[in-house]
Amino acid sequence: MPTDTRHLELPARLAGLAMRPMPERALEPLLGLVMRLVERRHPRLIERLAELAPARIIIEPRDTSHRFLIDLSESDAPVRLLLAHEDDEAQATISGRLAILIDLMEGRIDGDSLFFTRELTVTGDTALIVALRNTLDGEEISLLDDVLAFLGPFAQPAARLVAVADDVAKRLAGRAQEGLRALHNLAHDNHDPLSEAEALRSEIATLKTRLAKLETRAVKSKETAAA
Amino acid sequence: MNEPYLELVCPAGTPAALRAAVDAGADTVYCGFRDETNARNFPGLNFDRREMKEGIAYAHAKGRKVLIAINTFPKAGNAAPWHKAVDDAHSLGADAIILADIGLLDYARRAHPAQRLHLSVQAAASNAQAIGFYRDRFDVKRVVLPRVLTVDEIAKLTSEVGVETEVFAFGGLCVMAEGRCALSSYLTGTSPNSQGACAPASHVRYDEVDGKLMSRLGGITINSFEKNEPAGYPTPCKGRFVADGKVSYLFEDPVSLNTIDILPQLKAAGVTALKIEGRQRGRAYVAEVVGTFRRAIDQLAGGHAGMVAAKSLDQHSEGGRQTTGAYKKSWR
Repeated sequence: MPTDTRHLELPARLAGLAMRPMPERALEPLLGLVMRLVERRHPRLIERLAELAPARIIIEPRDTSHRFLIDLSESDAPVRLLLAHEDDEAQATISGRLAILIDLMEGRIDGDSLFFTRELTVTGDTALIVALRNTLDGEEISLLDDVLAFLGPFAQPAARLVAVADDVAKRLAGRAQEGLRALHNLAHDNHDPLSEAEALRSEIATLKTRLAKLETRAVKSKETAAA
Repeated sequence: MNEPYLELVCPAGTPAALRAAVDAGADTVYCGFRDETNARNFPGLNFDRREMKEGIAYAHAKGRKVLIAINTFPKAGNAAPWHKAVDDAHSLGADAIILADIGLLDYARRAHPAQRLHLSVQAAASNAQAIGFYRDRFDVKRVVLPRVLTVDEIAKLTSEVGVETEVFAFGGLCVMAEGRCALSSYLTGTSPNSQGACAPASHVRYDEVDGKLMSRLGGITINSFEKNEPAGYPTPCKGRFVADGKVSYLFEDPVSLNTIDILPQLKAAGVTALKIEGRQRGRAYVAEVVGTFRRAIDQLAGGHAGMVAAKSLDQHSEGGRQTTGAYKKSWR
């Protein structure tokens, strides 16, 4: 495992950002900015991706409210990153938790291993997915370093700021994930909130009784020891 | 330079993976050109000539070696791309070229008399007479042994053949007819032995059907996995089929080879080098597997056995399971 913890925290921070219900009008320019950053920092990656054109791949971070489309075409903008819409067609889809997808893009997790353990799902044109995976894996991408390089002279202060913000962001991302999970359960798992609340109430009562008994026992032991 | 306890030969499908392998402690890295001349011809993988030159320079600057695999079989009437690959590997400064085809070995030896040559596992040379032929005719210095031999058989062979032996240490297994298997060709019409891709991704599809993940190759179902069951790539020899009404892995289980627990025996058998399989895998796999084997070898060389657990590589294993394969086989 890498010892540099800022890498570990980046996916959580981005997950927190992406899970916010961000309006599309705000997200689309951000994606454009990301692509300009990639074009500037990784020209060889763009060249290699362009070799796969024409192709459209949907990236589906399961724990966010957005889906993304990588559009590879023989045009002036050979690689475009867009928000995917309901009726968008693509030859392949790759789906997994956002943090996993980012780790995969940065080459910190092996795609095959993820697939073997079912953390990643691919549908459609497998050759296209394999080509995308291999192309990304061959480029040493670090989103954080890319962003910091983009900031230029402001990189060092920004890096310090990021280190401070990481903990907070990670906690927020964790809470957001829990919240999403709870919402998902409510929506999909024939969930009965009333009976669950009742079960919880009864469990709390049991725990309170056990705690009281333990406290009594502790007091008695203390008295015995003192005598 | 001192001879390593066991030379660690590691895969690289991309320049980034090559750097990862070198940085994680590989003694030697093997890789191939971006075409059908190597047996891992998957989309987006492998090196163009400039990348190979840069990769060799990176490895050599750190005192490591680079082997170039040109280990598919030239097409009848069109051997030129394979000859060109051999010429380029030589001029780029490959420490050895790994070859399988007998005609290509002949070409390489005549065109580049001083070039070190290794015999690929794809040649399936598994007995002293076969290896002796390659040694005498083409001055092959090392043979990569097929994954069919026990440790005792490897020891006997190594003492007889007078060339270095390299054995697979970790990664995917292959059915016991390497270089001659036609299962994938039968299902897809493209040959691993000539075109360099067993179960080519262009013929692979995954579909969810009734909560099960179905893996298909060339339209034929190779396996179906329950919701939380570890999945696998639809390599035809690792399919789960029904025969006589019984569902089973007919040819091979989807399981990875791991020799960490038997490294001292392999060393005692006279093996020179350990090969990690997986040029098609990502650089995270390369870094972790290579780093783990580096620690295991260094500890053995320092007289400390058994300190690295084989289980630590479970997550990189197909099906989440590992085996010592034929090295300790009990079925014959």
